[in-house]
Amino acid sequence: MKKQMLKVALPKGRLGEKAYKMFADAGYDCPSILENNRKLIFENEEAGVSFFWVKPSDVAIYVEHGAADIGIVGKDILLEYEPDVFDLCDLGMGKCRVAVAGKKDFCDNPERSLKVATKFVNITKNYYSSIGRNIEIFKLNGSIELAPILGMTDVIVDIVETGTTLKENNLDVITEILPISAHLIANKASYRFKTEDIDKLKRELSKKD
Amino acid sequence: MKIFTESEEIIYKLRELYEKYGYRRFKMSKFEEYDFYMEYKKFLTTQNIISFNDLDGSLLALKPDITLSIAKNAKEGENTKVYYNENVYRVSHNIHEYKEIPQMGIEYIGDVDIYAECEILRLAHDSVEEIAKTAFAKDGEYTYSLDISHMGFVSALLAHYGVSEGTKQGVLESLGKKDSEGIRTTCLADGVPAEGAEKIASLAEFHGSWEGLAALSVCEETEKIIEELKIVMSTLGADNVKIDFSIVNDMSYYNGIVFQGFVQGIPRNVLSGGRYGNLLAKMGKNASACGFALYLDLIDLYRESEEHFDADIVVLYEDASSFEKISAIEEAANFYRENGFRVVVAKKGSVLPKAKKIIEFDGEKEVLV
Repeated sequence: MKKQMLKVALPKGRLGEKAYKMFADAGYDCPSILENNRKLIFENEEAGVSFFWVKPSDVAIYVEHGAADIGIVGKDILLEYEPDVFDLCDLGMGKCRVAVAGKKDFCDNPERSLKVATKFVNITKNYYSSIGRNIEIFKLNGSIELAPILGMTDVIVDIVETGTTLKENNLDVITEILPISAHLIANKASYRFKTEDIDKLKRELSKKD
Repeated sequence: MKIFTESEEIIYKLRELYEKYGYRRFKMSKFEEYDFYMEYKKFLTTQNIISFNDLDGSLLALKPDITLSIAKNAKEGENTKVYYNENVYRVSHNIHEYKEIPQMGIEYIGDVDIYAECEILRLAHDSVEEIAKTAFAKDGEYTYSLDISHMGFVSALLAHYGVSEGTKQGVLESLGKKDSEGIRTTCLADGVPAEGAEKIASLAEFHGSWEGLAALSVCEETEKIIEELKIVMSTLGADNVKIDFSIVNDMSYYNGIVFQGFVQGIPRNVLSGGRYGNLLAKMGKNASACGFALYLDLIDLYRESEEHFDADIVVLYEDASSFEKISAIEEAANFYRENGFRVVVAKKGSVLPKAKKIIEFDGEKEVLV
């Protein structure tokens, strides 16, 4: 039987490029991926691997539905969308945190609902229900920082890497909710049929942190 | 001419298989009392149930599950061996709307000993193979697997290392994701000794035969379960049967072996089953029980579709103004029908169905268009 290709979904952007390097170091390289072109799928038949770039929040969808066998995805996406996949290991890179941030002079008034802007509706709901705080969620898709500046919401729940964007906009971290890093995930059925390849890859990738 | 779709073909073959093993068909109504599901909520994989009022005001539900109804109707002191092929009503994974989902399965309620358990696993194995062979073979080759776990083994290990009730749920969730780091962190935070946390975490990474289990055994109970798994796996004798503890079912209902079947080409498990003696105990029945369900909707959803044609042959006519002309057209069409083709007769110039061949008939001659 022909050797089966391992299909890998990588998140577009810096994290994906770093992740690709880890794959290459582990023997799953695919030089054509570094060429600057508009191709979507990159294959290295010899190494038995094919890569494709997708939007970071879509990686888990491709893996859950088996279009990719494995993928690299931030823990934030796993917690937000709760895809039915194996969460094989923490790759120890792309580290950041999900935090509550607000204006520097923010003071919570417990007498009314807290207005929160975020793109992580699920994480936000879970966090505030765990501390028993009533909230109103404003789901946004980008430039979350704008919401408290314009007075639309009291706070935001968002990814914080260095905190520079927050500072430049006079915002501060109020509470850290979760540490985030990149994880290796696998489709539950693919894992059964490509166990050896996936386990080997997991060992190789988790060595390097 | 192919009349049955792959999933219909599979249904007939599996009915035959289950009948041969002495399972009787169980037909049932689509409705059940709503309260019944509230009582056994955690047994269901879904929390969303379609409910409606009966004429007397009582609340009914469209069945989201078949097993519960069969278990409720099982008589004590008898062995109930049944199979079903019914629709259940659940929220679909993909579109977050209610869907009618065709489901097939078997249930064995009564005295389910190790022989019966092996027989059920054999049927599960053969069912998954049938699906792979009939609907997912490529050039005659197909791949499938049946993975087995044991809730007793997991719970004995957790109990041995004193994992608290509150932590168990978190550990099981991580186990279901093969997230060994998550298990380690959760266990250590619960005060489980490092050696224990390590052992529990390695459950997540296990994927293989019973021989590898010795390293995970901690007590008499786990020894006993390894012996059971050895018997089961040896009886099945297939190398695509593996032990994998990421198959996790609710411990308050499932107490023994649990298993899932996978077919290459379907990204989710197509079969799910296990021993659910604890459910019977909750219903106040003194019996053991085991069974499995097949998610037939996945077959049509993920089967690679061939090019679709509405008909094999379209016979075009121009003039049907007399008895003779109509008879001649009929005769031409019937010639192909008798040879096993699907034939549509259509008037020239009308909207045509998609067909492999179009034949023009001018009353005497046939011309391939």
